[in-house]
Parts: sequence; C-alpha cells; structure tokens
Amino acid sequence: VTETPPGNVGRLRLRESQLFLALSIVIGVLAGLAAVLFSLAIDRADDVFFGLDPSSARMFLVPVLVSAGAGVLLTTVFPGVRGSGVPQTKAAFHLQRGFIPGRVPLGKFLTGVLCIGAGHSMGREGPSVQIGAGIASAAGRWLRLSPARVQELVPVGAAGALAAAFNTPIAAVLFALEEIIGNLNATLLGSTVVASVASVVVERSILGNEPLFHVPVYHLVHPAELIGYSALGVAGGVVSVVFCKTLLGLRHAVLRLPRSTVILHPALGGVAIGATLLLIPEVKGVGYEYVDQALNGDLIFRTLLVLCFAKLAATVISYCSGNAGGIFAPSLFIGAMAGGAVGMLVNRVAPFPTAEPGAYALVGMGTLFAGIIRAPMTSVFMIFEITQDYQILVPLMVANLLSFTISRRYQPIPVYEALLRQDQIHLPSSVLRDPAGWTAGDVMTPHVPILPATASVDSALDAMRVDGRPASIVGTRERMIGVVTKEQLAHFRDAGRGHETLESVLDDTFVHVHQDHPIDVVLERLSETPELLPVVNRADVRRVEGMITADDIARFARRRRPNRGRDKVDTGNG
Amino acid sequence: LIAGRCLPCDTRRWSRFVHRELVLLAVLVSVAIGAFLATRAIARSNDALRSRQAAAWYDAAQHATVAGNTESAVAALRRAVSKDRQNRRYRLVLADALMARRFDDEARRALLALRDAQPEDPEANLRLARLEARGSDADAARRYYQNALSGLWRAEQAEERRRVRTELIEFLLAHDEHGRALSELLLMAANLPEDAAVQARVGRMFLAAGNPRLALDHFERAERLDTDNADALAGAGEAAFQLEDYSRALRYLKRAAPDDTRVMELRDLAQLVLSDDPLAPRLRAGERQRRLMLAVRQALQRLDGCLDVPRAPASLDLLRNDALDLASTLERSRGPVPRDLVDDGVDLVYRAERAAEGTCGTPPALFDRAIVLIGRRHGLEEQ
Repeated sequence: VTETPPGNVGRLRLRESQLFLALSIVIGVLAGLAAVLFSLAIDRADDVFFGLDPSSARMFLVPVLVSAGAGVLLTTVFPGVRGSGVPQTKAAFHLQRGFIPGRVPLGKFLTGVLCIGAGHSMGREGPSVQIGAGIASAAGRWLRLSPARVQELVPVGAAGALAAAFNTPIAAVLFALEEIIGNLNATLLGSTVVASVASVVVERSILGNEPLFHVPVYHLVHPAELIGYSALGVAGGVVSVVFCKTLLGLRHAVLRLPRSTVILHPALGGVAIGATLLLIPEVKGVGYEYVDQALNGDLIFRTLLVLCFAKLAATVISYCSGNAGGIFAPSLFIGAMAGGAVGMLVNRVAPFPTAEPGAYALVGMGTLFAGIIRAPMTSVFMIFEITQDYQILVPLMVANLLSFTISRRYQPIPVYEALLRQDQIHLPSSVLRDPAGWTAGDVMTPHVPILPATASVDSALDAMRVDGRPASIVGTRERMIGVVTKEQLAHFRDAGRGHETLESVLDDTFVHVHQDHPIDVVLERLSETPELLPVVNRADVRRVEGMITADDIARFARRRRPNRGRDKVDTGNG
Repeated sequence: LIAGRCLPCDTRRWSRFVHRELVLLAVLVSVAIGAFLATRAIARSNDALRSRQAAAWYDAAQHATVAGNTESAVAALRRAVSKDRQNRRYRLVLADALMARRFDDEARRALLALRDAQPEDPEANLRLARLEARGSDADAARRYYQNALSGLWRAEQAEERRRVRTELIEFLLAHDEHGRALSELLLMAANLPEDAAVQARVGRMFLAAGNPRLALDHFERAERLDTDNADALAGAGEAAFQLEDYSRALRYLKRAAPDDTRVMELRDLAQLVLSDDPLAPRLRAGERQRRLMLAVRQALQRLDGCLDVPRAPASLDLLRNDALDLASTLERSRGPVPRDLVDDGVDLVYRAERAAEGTCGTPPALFDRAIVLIGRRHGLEEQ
C-alpha cells in the first residue's frame, strides 16, 4: 500500500491557482491581440469603405448599405452582440457564471468592424471588452475549468482587451474591478493586473510606444483655476445626463417598435448617420484624431460646440439603432469637445491666468467618462495614464466628482445597468449579501398559479373564485405580463370591462424579487403586494421562477424555528 | 488499497488530467504566438497602407500649394499627419502651411510638439524662430535661432547651418542688435567656403553691422576669387568709401556695375572728394586756392537756398557773411593764399554745409556732400 502519489506526478501537477495564473497571462495576450486586431480591422474597413477622399454619395450610402448587412447578421446569426458589449459582459459575469457563447466574440468582432468601419459614431473599447471576455470564457470552458473559475476569467479577459484597446493598463484593471465586477476589493486583482500587463506588452510590441493621444504639457497655472475646472465638472455632469437620458429615451422608443422591424433598425440608423456625415464628417467612427486636435487646442470654439452635440446625437442614433459599437470612445470625444469649449470660455472671462483650452479638453474627457460610464476611479487613472502628469489629478478629481454627483442625482441608474434593464435584465446590487443569510430563493414556492393573458376579466375572476386564490400571475411561466388580484378583477368588471382580455387591462410593470434578494427586501416588497410577490429571473425579468405570499413567509418561519440560533438578520443588502 | 480505491489507478487518472491541462495550455500558447505573428504582419501592412495614404495626401497638399490653394493644402496635410504621425516632414510642412495661412497659434503648437519630442531638432527650432521673428517676440526668435544653430546637424548640412546663421544675423541687423550680429558674423567668418558670392554676402553683412574694415577684407577676398564679381566690387568700393580710402574706393567702383545708381553716386562722390579737396597733399598753391574758391561758392549757394526756409537760424546768416568775406578775400588775392587761410576756409565751408544740412536736410548736389566728406577726411568732425 502506498500512502503518497509518485514524485513525478507531484511535480507535474499544476495546482488550479497556478494554472489560473498561467491562463491569465495567455488570456491577457490573446485578448490584447484581439483588441489590436479589432482596431486594425476597423482602420482597414474604413479605408475599404470610404477610400482616401470619398464622394458625397459614398459617404451617405456606405453607412446605409453596410448597416443593412450588419442588421441581418445581428438579427439572424449573432443575436446578443448589438451595442457596447460592456453590459452584456456584466450580465454574463453576474448572471451566467461567466458563460459567453463562443460565437459572441466572433460576432462582435465582425459586426463591430462593419458598423464602426462604416462610419457609425461608436467606440471600439466596449466591443473589445466583450471580445476579450468572450475569449476568456471560451478558453476557460475549453480547459474544463470549474464554473467559478470560468466566471473569474471574464474580467481578466475584459481587462486585457481594454488595456490593449486604450493603452492604459491601470485604468483597464480598475475598469474590470469597478465596472464588470462592481467591487474594487475583488480578489481577482492579481489576475487582472497580470492580464493587463501582458496585453499592453503585446500591444506595444506590435503598435509601438506611440501614445493614443498627443497631449501637451499640463500646468495648473493658478490655484483659482480650480473654479474653472469646477465649472467644467458641472457642464460635464449636465452633458452626461443629457447623453444618458437621450440614449435611454430613444432606445426605449426603439424597443417598443414591432419585433419584425428589428432587422431594419441598423439600416435606419445608417440612413441617419449617412446624412449626418454629409454635413459633419468629423463624427465618423471613433474620431480620436479630432480628440487629439481638441487636446492640442487646434479647434475653434464653434467647431468644439458643434462637434460636442453632433457626436452626442450621432452616437445616440448609432447605438439605439442596434449597431455594434460602444459609448466609451464617444464619451471621451464629447468630453474633449465640451472641455475645450469650456476652456476657451474660461480663458476669455477668467480674471486669473488660465491653462490652454487643451488642458480643459483633457480634463473634460475624464469628466464625461465619470458622468456617463460612472466609473470615477477608472476615469481619473485613465487620464493620469494618458498624461503621465501628477499635476492633473487635483483638477481632474474636482471636475469628476461634480460630474459624477450631478449625473447620479439626475440619472440614478448607471447607463450600462439601465441598458440591461431595458433588456429585462436586472443585475444584483453591488453590495455583497451575507452568504449565511436567508434569501427569496429559500422562501419561495416554485409552483405558481398562472392565468393566460388572453383570458377575459370575467373568466379570470370566475377561475379565481373557484380556486380561492387572492391573486395570480398573468401570462406564461416564460413570459409574464403582470400580477392581478381578485379585487382588481372585480373592479374591472364593475367598470364594464369584464369582456376585455387580461393583457389589455393590465399594466406591464410589477413589483418583484429575485432569488438572491435577502429576506428584508422580500418583506419590504411583499408589503406593497401582500397577495403575491413574483420571484423572477435576473437575466430575464419576465421569466417566472416562483412566488412568495405571506403564508410562505409564515411557513418558512415555522420551518426555521428549531435553527433560530444560526439565523442571521440580513439588512441593507440589495 | 485505501478505502477500497486503487491509488495507482487514481495516479494514472491524475497524470492524464495534468497532462491534458498542460497540453491544452501549450496549445493556447501556440495559438497566442501564431496570433501575435499574424497580428504583427497585419499591423505592418496597415502601417504601410497608412504611409501610402499619408504620402497621397502630402502630394495632394503639394499640388494645392502650387495652385495657390493654401486652405486645401492645410486640410490635406492635416490628413497626411493623422495618417502618419511619425513622419516629421509632414508635420513640418503642415507647420509651414499653417504659417503661410497665418494660423500662427496652431503652427506654434505643432512646432512645439515636434520640439518637445526632439528638442535639438534644428528644423523645428528654425521654424519657431521664423514664427516668433514674424511676431513681436524678438527674444524668443533669437533663442530659437540659437537653439537651431546648436542643434544636431549632420556633417553634410554645413551649408544649411550657415544659411541659418545668416538668417539669424539678418534678423539681428534688422533689430539693430549690431553687437550680437557682429559676434555671429565673426563665428561664421571663421569657417567660410572659398566662394565669391558667400564672401561678398558676408562682407555686405559686416558692412551693415558697422565694420567696414572686415567687410573690405571679405569683399577683396571675393574679388580675388572672382575678379568680375559685381557685388564684391561694389561692396569693396563702399567699404573703402566708408573707411575714407577714396582712391581705393574709386578703383573698385570704376570696375563695378556702371548702371547701379548707388555705385554711380559713390563713384562720383569719391571722384569729387579726390579732385576737389583743397587740403589734398602735393597741390600747387593756385590749384589749392581754386578748389577752395569752388567749395566756398558751393557753400554760399547752399546757404542761400537754405536761408529761404522759414525760421532759418541766425547762425546760417553769420556763416553766409563769413563765406562772403572769404570769397571776396580769395577773389582779391593776387598771389598764393596762406595755408592757414585754406585750412580756415575748409573749416568754414564744412561748418556751413553741416549747418545747412541740419536745417534743410540732405543736400541735392553731390558737391555739397563731397565738401562734408572732405571736412571729415581732414578730421574736422572731431573739432
């Protein structure tokens, strides 16, 4: 009988953590290469589509025709790769244990190249994040890592891709922690740093050390200039709110259009962008060359203002029409233009000496990023990495804080999360729940009474009287319409609407919980709908997973009584 | 066997598992290496494409410049620069185009960015110097010129570097900084090629800087290299003229371009100084008296013309009376006039001409100017 395995096996054995570290490096390299390739492919596509000096007809037709083709791909071959990619990556990390289908990175690459190369006013960083995360997820599954490890690889791939796409390794790590994971104290710091560094090394060895932007030397000319930067923070906050509200408002309207028109949305966006390019060609694509000009003070006040609002409008149209591309780069573009304009105003009216407008454009980039993306730490470090100038930190933090505060006040839900909510996906709160606490999943009943949406008010009321149920879910288990109570049905019948269908009388909003919500949240929400509280899926809030009633709570309490000693009060989570 | 399990079998299973992970990792690494090589090849191809596009925009800009369409030229150059950021030539030409369109601030930023990247780049410093020279910041212009001169020049760029120094000297002379200009000139003169045109140009700058002696050296060197060089002959004549060596001046000016008005004027003046100087050595007394008489009559004519000017000073009248007295003395004289009288006479006509010049400006007649030069030649100015 042998008590230990042979020495060779012991030496060969890679512990999972070591394998994970090695894999992080490889994924960083692969994600970085994918991001570089994505950027190169967009450049090449731009050249193929527009050539050196495009005619007006070409300028208009390219976005229309290419978007029409992309629309077919996005609807039939690669569903789920529209838009930025960051919200989808967050959803995959939080709700699908890091599972990203293999075709997602491929589809994102292809459609992103087509849409951005065809002139849509969108960024390449968001898609790069999804491509990197997708590669990481696929590699983890191919290596048959545990689901938890696959999930952990998602932010690693995202950080690697972003580091290469934006040439800012520290900001990429922070973005992965702050935006994807939603927790700056995450244990994945080491792996994301490793991937980010590997990615940047690869990117620089291919593209050289040329910085993304050529930034003039920054100086805080006078302490009173902080007043000017505060004004920029306020302006940035307002523009951020305008951007988010417009984006979410138009997208909400587009999502309400018949599903049969979805395939045409990108082409319609292409028509709008084509027309815009005829008037203002500067909003085409990523547009970093114009950011560079703003940073160097090469644009006049009127141009800065026009480009700020034209880019805002063009980005909203491109994004809401369902094309593939991000809002990361547009937010920097808009910020640079807004910052440059504010800088010129400050320059003219300030009674104290001020820096060049380019310095304000630089701070403006971070300000809009903090206001729109809502990742303040990432924005500070991103600008710091671009300038490599310590002096910029104080004005940047002042402006960012103001922009962030204003944006949060008037747009409480961050834009990526709001976009997911429009897609019926609810991310868990960033506040960690107590793992030992009881949740809605522990209390709920999986069996739920369901009334068909096509049933009339009269028949539904009769059925509920027979069953003796106070309330019921309307729709199907896969697609819930809402919750109806016996009281409501009686009210509808008294109002003479007894022959109408439940679908037509019900409001499609409803109070709900998810399985991971703690008990105190369940109790709070049950007080709003005491008859029946539906438990729905986070990835699709119309998919019913169970229900909770006051009886369920009481039953659960009785069941837990012998173990009261280990029960924990769970507050503030969720 | 432990707890009914076959450990060697487990070991084999572990071994297989471990090897599988290693193999898959190795495959991933191979994929990464392959992807790296492919991406690098694509990046190079993209770079080449962008360079070609930039070159096309650059050519378009050149055509636009030739056609006089500076606006299109600037737009094309901006695109060339955005396509090929590493190309300093495009950026320098863009700065030139911006300067041509008077977009001085943008040109300055573009040049400063180039200078930040390479502080010892003579091209960027020179353009900055020209930009500042065109503006009002003479100190900055001088500083950038100096930076350009102390920048990194290749051995074969000696001629270009000399041209920059020449430009700096001309700038300094234009700003009346003769001392600094002279320093630069001395530096330049130490290492000049044996070229008549170059020597003549340096001679001209020495002349402008107020050093006719060194100017004459360079003009004569140029004349030795090319005996018919009109610039050298005219310059040598002018330098010798300023040194009051009128016979030498006349020798050069007679050989210089006859249709040059300045040369003609100097030649005639030199001729007059030499032919009508009453104090010239080895003259017969009669000739000396005749020359003095001519000078007195010219001075009287000048004073008569000048006294008509409103508010003419009384001193002119006194000088006129003295001149009339001298003229009558000379006319009454039967024999040779004493040398003292000639000296005093020259002094009188010199003072009369200077006073008339102070009241009525530069005299129209060459002889009046010649009289002043004769007086100076004999040290009257210092008196």
